[in-house]
Amino acid sequence: MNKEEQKEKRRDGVSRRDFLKYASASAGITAATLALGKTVSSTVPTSRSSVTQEFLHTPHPTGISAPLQVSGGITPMQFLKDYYKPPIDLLSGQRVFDLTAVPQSITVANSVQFPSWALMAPTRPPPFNLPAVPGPTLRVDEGDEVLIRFHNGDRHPHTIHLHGIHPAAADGVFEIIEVGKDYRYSFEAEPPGLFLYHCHVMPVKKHISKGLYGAFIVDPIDQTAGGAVGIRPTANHELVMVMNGFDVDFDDGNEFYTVNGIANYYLDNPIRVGVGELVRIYLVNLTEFDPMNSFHLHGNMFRLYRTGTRFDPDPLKAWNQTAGNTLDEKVKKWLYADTFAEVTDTVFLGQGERAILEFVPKHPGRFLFHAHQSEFVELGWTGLFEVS
Amino acid sequence: MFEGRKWAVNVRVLTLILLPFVVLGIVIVIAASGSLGLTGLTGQFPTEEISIERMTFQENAIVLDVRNVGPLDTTIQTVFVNEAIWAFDAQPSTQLTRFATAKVTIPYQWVEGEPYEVSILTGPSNLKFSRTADVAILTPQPSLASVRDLTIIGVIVGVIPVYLGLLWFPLLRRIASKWMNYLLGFTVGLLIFLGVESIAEAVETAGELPTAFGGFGLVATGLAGTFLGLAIINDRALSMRKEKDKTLLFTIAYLVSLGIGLHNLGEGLAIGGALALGAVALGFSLILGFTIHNLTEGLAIASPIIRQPATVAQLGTMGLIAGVPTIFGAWIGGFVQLDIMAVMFLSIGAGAILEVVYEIARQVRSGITSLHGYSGIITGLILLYSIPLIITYATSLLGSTG
Repeated sequence: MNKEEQKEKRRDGVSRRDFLKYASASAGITAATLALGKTVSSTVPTSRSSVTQEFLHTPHPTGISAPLQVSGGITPMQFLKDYYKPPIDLLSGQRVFDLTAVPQSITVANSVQFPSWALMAPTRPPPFNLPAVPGPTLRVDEGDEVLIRFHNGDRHPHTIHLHGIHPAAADGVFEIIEVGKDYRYSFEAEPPGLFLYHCHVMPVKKHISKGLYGAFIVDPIDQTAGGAVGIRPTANHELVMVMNGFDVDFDDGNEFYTVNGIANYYLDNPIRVGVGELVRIYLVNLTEFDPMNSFHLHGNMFRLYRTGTRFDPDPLKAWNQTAGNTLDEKVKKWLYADTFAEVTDTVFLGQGERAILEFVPKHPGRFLFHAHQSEFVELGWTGLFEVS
Repeated sequence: MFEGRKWAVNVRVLTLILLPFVVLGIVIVIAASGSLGLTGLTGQFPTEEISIERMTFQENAIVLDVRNVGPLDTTIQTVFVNEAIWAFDAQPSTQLTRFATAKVTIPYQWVEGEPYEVSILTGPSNLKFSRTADVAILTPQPSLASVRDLTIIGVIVGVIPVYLGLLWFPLLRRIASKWMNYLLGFTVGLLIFLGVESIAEAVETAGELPTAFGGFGLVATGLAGTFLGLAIINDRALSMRKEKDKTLLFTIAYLVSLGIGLHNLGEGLAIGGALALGAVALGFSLILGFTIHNLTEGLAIASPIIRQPATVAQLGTMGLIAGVPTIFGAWIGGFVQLDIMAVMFLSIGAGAILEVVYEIARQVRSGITSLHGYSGIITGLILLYSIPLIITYATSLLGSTG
């Protein structure tokens, strides 16, 4: 910080000597220019670097592959399609989740480690029992009795604060879980939609930026069908994307922006989907410090359901009615069939906002997805869909 | 027996010399063992430190010279250009052991004339080190053409103005002796200003040096070392001379040349460095300012010997001593550009300049303590102080008409 201040001071203050220095330098340049009859730069030969040309126009600024494994053991590719949805306990009738907070050094960009506070689900099979940022995506059905058994294995007090409707005792704010202690959050899951959870101990800014958060999905259930029948049909691909940032030098500003934990991961490891398949994205913004984050998809339009609380009860209805039509007609009809959905290719989400996105790829090829804030793009928030 | 006694004495002397160190060692061991209960002292977190010593712009690339100047081995993890992650190539390695260097090449289509900030994120502590170029401009590479360019620049800004100042020599010879004192005082005023200015610049640049290179110590060493060294040399040289008065004045004139030469070396470094760093304020009307500034240096050289039968060859030599170092400075600044060298040369230059003031003060005291001498000093100081004001005003006039 001190160095920064010094630098600022130097940048602002122009001493008499600086003035003369610049004066003399420009005097020299101009004089030489006049004397030689051409510009200085045109007379100065340059050495061409061999590494320059190949990287100049690639979409991948880092030019190097991200590591395949985070130190926690789960890759962003595994995280993308993983849901923590334990079976209902026969005795208690609850879905019982186990979450533990631990200190964990994680990989956030090529060769960059971040000392995070991570969440793990110790009762799950490996590698999903290992600590990671974001924490596991909790998934339940609407109306489920939920029990989250939280253990604080970190060296600081923490809580689990969920979004959604629940009793005060399950809100994870006033019952601060001290080091080594446990707590049980129990509630009935409502309403259906896309939510999130995060630590709510002050300073919250620190506890979130350190990595104590994750996505929480409550699936809508058709109660008339006797329960347990999902309203939102299974898509070909259900993908969780948690947008976040990492403040690796602790100056209250992010050095890296990622989806699911590693900068540029999906650029090196594209997400494979097929033409004509329904792709559903659970998009959650858990970026700290910056007020907004965003998602932009290339070459396609998606149906946007903010917070996922209102939806087309049968997103494939329009699709099925167009049997025999061309793919082009199908996609067009499907896209506009749900009046609840906005049809767009870009969405901005504030801190803690989330949305469900659905699209059907029409053309094969490589399509980027990234924040539509160029700053974030060039600090790691870029990925690729490989459509075949 | 004599030998034996000498040995005994030496052992005793040696013991006395070493005793404090032994006691110090014991104290450190006791403190480090924790038996004093100083538990807070054990939790130290040493962090890495790197210095981006040079930042140059080549065609489609930005090139950095990076040195590990901290207490730990470190790694170049990520490179940012204007707050964006960028590809880079580090030779010989991204791993830097202590005091090791790396050349970091960043493929980048930079825009001429725009500012750039490059940052390096180091491991293991995730620290960000930055360097800024105010104006991106193709950095001169060592070649015949660029050496010629820097030479021409050096001649124009350093050598020619000094000789222009010396052209007044025949005119100055005719003035009355009280005005000679005024001129001598004027020289002292200029020198004080240049000396103080050099120190200020040296201290400012020293503040940017990595802690391991102890910037302020370097300033003190360069300044005092040069000042005292020259004072002793002059003492010896003068005591050996017989015709004291005549040679004394020539000695002072040569000393003034040398001091100004060293100052101009620092100035040349700044010019070459400014070109290399792209820290160039555009606007050719500023030629005026630099010429006036260095014209006064010719005056300063000539004034001690205006009553003496100086030959053209002597004046020519003095001009060379004062002016030519600007060219060397421009070369060094343009091609090497290390802050540590700038600090060194500026401190040495300041020491040399202030020593000349001291020489004049103790040997021609009657001259500069007269009313005319004192007025001269004040005139010299005020003139140099006001030059940038005048240039700024002239530039604004030119700007408003153009």
